[in-house]
Amino acid sequence: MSINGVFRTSVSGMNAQANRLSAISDNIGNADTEGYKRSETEFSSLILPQSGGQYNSGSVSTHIRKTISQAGTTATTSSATDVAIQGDGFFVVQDGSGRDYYTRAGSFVEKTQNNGGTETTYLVNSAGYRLTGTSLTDGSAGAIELPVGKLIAPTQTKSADFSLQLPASSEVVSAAPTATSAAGAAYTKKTSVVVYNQLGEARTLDVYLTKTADGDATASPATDDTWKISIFDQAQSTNGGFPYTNVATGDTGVHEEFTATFNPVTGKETSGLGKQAIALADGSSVDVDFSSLTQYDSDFSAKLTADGNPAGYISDFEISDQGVVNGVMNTGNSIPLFQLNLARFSAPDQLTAGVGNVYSASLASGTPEIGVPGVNGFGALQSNALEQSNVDLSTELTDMIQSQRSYGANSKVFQTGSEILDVIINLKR
Amino acid sequence: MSLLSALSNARSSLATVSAQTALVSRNIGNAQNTAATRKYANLSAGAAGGVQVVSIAQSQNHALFQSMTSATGGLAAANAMSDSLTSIQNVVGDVDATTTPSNTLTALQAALSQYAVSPEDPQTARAAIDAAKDVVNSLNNATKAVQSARKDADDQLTAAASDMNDILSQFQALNDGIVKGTATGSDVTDLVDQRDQLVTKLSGYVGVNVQVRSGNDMVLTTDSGITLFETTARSVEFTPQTAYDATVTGSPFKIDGVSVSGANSAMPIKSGSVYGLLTFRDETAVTYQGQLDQIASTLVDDFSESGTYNAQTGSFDPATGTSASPIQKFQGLFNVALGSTVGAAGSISVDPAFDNDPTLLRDGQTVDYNTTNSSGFTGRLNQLISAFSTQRSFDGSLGAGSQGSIISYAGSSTAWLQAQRSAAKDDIDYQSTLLSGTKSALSDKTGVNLDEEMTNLLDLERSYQASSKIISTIGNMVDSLLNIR
Repeated sequence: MSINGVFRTSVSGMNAQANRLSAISDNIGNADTEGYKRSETEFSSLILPQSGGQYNSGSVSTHIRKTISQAGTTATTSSATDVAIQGDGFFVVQDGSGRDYYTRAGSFVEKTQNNGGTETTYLVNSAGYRLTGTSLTDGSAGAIELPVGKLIAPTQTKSADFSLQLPASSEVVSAAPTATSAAGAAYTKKTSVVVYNQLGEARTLDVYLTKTADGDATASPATDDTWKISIFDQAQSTNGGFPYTNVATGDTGVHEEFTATFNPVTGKETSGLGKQAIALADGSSVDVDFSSLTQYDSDFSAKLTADGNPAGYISDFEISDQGVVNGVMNTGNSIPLFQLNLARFSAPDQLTAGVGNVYSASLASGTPEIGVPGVNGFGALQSNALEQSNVDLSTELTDMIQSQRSYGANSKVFQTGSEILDVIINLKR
Repeated sequence: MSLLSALSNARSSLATVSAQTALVSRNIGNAQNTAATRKYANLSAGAAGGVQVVSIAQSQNHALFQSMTSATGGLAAANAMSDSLTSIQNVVGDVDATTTPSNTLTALQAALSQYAVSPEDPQTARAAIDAAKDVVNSLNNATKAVQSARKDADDQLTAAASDMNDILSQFQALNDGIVKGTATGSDVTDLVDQRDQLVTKLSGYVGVNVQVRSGNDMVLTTDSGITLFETTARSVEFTPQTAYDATVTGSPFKIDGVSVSGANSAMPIKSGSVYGLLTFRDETAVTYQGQLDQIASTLVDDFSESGTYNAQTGSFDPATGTSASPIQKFQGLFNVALGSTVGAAGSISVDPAFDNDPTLLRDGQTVDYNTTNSSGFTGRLNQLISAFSTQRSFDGSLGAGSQGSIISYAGSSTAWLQAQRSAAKDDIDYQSTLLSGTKSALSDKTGVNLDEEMTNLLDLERSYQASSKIISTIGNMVDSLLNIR
């Protein structure tokens, strides 16, 4: 139509390229920012209605799209609390006021903050956002508060496993010792295992094994080899041995006795002892698994294991593949403290970007779906790793050159229009 | 795959290579350390390319390690036995030495024969008494040597118990560190080496069996199954006796409340210096003391005087007894209660009356053998001389034979001691050969091989060069992009 349209169109073209250059400069600037997602510039044409033989030039509009759903490469680090998501999902983090944000930047470090006198240690990322999770001790959700310097409650021994090989050639002892047996009472073998009570106190259980009867396979009916398994609490021993009696109170304390019978021909248990509960002196009980008892013609061997741990302090933290934040105690026990949750969106590219590599949910992104890492399509976690930005420098640089050329072309159009206007103005002298 | 991710992959390769180079230098530094194992890095490819060190591992061979610890225990037991026997042997002397009980007995017999040739000569009488004193000294000194060797064994056991408690508490600290390090995935290989060294040290005291539980947690038991360490250290208890003589029984050595040795022990250990010391203290030394006591009590019996009371003279006659006045026995030359065996060799002495008047040997002290008071009387002396070659029976359970004359018994006792010592020496030779064999086999399997490390280092250098080449190439590519105008 008119030559003025050319100016409008070329200016909008130059504006569009300027936008694109801005996005590219952001991308290049954040090429090394962990968890940064590059912005893509897309253009759409705005074409005016045409009439008759006239062409009305329109303009171009710019749309910025964040490539949030594209994962960056993973780089390894030396910190156990650096985590990268391998697959779908975002870490759920909170700012100081408790508002939820979502991020892929997983460089979390411990940071202690003083809130009105009480010190709380959070796991924060480089922008200061606190990692959230579900407490595995009380089930509460929210920002993870690490129990640094706080005493961790002991875990009582709930189950133990006794694997015993009792030598078939052992001599028979007439009767198994009891708690009140005199010092030096006869038994066949002895072993011991440490268990923990509710107070986290390590109690050594003395396990005496006494062969009380020799079986006879040729008798009718055939009889079995009999062993008595007698369990006492070492704390109640007298000089480390019998009698296991608290003389002051007359309390005979822990004394559990089980009978295991073995086929003298096969050396296997005739009827499995299986799981048995042992009552401890403090009233708690431990389930002991006796499922692996044998009586072969071999030396005595005992493999005893028990769970539980004493009270103690946590000296180190690590995050597992399934998103469990474990505290490692000074005793070496690993205590699961929190379960990290991941959030997933139906349209993650539509999330609203915020300061510090975080995103917040928008109408277009949909509401977050919360889940556990590695389950139901959520990505698994990799500790000692960080997700790099998904910016490719060569793409950005070529885009930049392209953008520059495009800007130049638009300015040429503007210049041409301007020259044409000059010609028109110069028609009258 | 973009240029930048290629760059970060190349960078991860550089980091891995430098971590591996650090390990190689650690290995080379420990090439001369026999207790050190070879450390290596476990690598894994990252999800989007790149490489990372997943963990630091070490070469281990549980079976060879176990045979090494058991050979250590065997050698320590043989050494302890041999050292104790040598200390007795040094006092008693070997079969040719004039100080052995058998040779002093032969000398006593010769002196008595000399006396019988000239019974009127006070010189020969004195010589016979001196020869008897030599026998007494020989038996007394041998007993002292045996009992002080038992006391030494007791002292060494006391030191062993406190050392073992120390080792076990160090072990607990190391084991806790390893379990904790394993949970956090940190490098615990050096701690594991130290822990293995403690196990080897402990196996010098008692034979040790090792179980490894989940999380690199270790359980130690003796070779007889007594718990030494399980989550916590079990206590090793030993109370020494203040003094030893033939009547004292050694106190028990207890681990986790179980006595590790002796007839009453349900779970006797089979190797280690504690085993060697206990076996010496309670068996070998007791047996040799028994042999000495047999010699002493037989000697006392041989020199005893027996006779019947003669109411007319008011003294004892060497007559055959009657039911009215039975034969009575009296101590003669040697001053120990008749019929006592245990400890006889330690308390035997020459009666001072004989020392003052050597002719009592010819005439008798309590029993009047020389009724005519003749200075040429030899009846009693000949009786004493023949007693040396009389066949008699001894306690066969003591290992020096059950039949023979006192001189042959004393000879076989000395030979028995010699044989025990040479058996212990042979055992040392065998065990030390076995130990050096298993040690070198273990070192071949788990130790550092310099050739291998140097080859690895060359490989790493090449890998580092290749990765740096990739980085410089990518740099050039980005440069050429930037130079487009």
